[in-house]
Amino acid sequence: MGIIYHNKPEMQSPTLLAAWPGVGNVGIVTLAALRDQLGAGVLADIEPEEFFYPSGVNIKNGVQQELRFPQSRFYYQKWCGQDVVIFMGDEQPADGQNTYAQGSRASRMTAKVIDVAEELGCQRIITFGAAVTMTHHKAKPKVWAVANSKNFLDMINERLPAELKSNLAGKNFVPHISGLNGLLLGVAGKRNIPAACLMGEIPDYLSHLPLIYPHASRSSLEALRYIMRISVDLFRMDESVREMDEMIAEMYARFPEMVRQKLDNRYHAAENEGISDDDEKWLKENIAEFFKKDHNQDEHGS
Amino acid sequence: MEAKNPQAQCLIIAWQGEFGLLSERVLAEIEKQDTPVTVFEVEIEKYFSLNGVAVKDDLTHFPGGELKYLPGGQLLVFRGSIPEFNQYEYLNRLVNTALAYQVNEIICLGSVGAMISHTAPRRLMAVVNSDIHKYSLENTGVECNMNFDTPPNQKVDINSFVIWLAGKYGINAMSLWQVLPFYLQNSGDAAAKLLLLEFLGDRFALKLNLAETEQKVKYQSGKISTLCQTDTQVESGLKMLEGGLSLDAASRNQLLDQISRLFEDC
Repeated sequence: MGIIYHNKPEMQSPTLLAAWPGVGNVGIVTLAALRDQLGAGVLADIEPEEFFYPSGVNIKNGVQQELRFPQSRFYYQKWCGQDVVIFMGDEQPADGQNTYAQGSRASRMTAKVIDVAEELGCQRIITFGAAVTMTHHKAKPKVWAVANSKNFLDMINERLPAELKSNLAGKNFVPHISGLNGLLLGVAGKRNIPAACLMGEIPDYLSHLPLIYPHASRSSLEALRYIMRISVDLFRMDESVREMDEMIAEMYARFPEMVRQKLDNRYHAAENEGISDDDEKWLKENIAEFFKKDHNQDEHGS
Repeated sequence: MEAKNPQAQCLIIAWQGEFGLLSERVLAEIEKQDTPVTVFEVEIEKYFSLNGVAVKDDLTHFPGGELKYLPGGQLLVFRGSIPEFNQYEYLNRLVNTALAYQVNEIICLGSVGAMISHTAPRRLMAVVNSDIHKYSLENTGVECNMNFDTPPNQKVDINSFVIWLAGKYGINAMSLWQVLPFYLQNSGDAAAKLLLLEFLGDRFALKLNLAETEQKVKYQSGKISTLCQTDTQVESGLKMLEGGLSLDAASRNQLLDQISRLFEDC
């Protein structure tokens, strides 16, 4: 049980970029855009059956032809003189209804990814996810970088331009990076591989919806461009950003006037010194109430 | 030195709680006519959340699973609950044990309810994991010609996972099921049970005494005929099903209720 290599090209100290689905699918959309732009080819797959329940079956004339599982796939391309390995997981190996992996399967999956990184001689790992903040959908999302070593974090912060740096940086926040996008940093640290997670900001009022948020993915890709010093065409993502903008604007217009006002004010105030706890509580309750009425469906972030 | 396992012809799997409990009843009958020896019991805490207990028709259902060896028929039989998580590990243990007993085949039994009449002939249907294995079903009466692709948001049947895994280990495997009249859900379908016992008996040369089951088929059919003579609603419902028509929800529930009560004491 392990890794199936489809290819084993010669590489020199590649960088591994990894993502699994999560809030707004920020990480996955970022890497899908990069993979397509680079024209990256398939490198290897992690054998899925230990981690996932099958997602589909094909039967022809009474004979089972194929059992499909969610993929955990590595891609490869040389880009701007650098070897880049991209890992994308269709799903996190979670139990039951959980979105995020945890426990032994999470640990085994991260170990497999790091095994491949070590085998390929990766010198660093960057994962991608979302940071749920009080930002506004009309604002360009910033990117919060977290790393497993101070040197790597310093390098990232040095290369990131101020307009992309999240206000959360250096604030001694004690949050949690859920699932494998976070766990990978910890496991990489244990094996002395520098690793970081780039989290594109997503407004809290959108984070519970089953939407992608390409705005944050675009910012994450821009951040990666600075960190790795590679050229990436960001304009290719603009169309999906525009489409999602229209959808969000339509939904936002249906928010009660008072909620909209408070969210707009909160954003401007938050840029300076934040809003009162009472206002924050009021907003959370009212937004939750709006979605309960407006969306008669499950609200799982992914 | 570790004792060598006896050879088994086949591992037969029945999942608890399937429609009409057909597969459980069939394995119970085969076990009854042999001298089963427990191979292992499933450690349920590894595969089930155990955050309480499921209740169906006011009865609690606790998960479990037990693999037994039947020396008379040289069979491995497993009756157990479908795991909630760690499915691969659960199924892998079954398939690995089957390998240790050098089985030639794995059969997963199943059943589904449909709007058909009990007077319609029962049909055994199968999906196999290889073209070669399909040949072994020639002249057995088993239909093996299904085409299917999982639609979005539909869960894959556990038996597909089992026969795929068996294939990875080079073991021939099939998912074998029957369609049962929905109104025999609670009472069980004696005719379907007989057909399946006959098939397994022939395939593995089991010396099964089927007299009791044959008698039950006649008894079940006779009781329903008698009820039809006294209850016009039941009669017309069954006539509609025989004619290939479907029943509305109220008629369906009524028929299920009437037939279930008819066999309450059996």
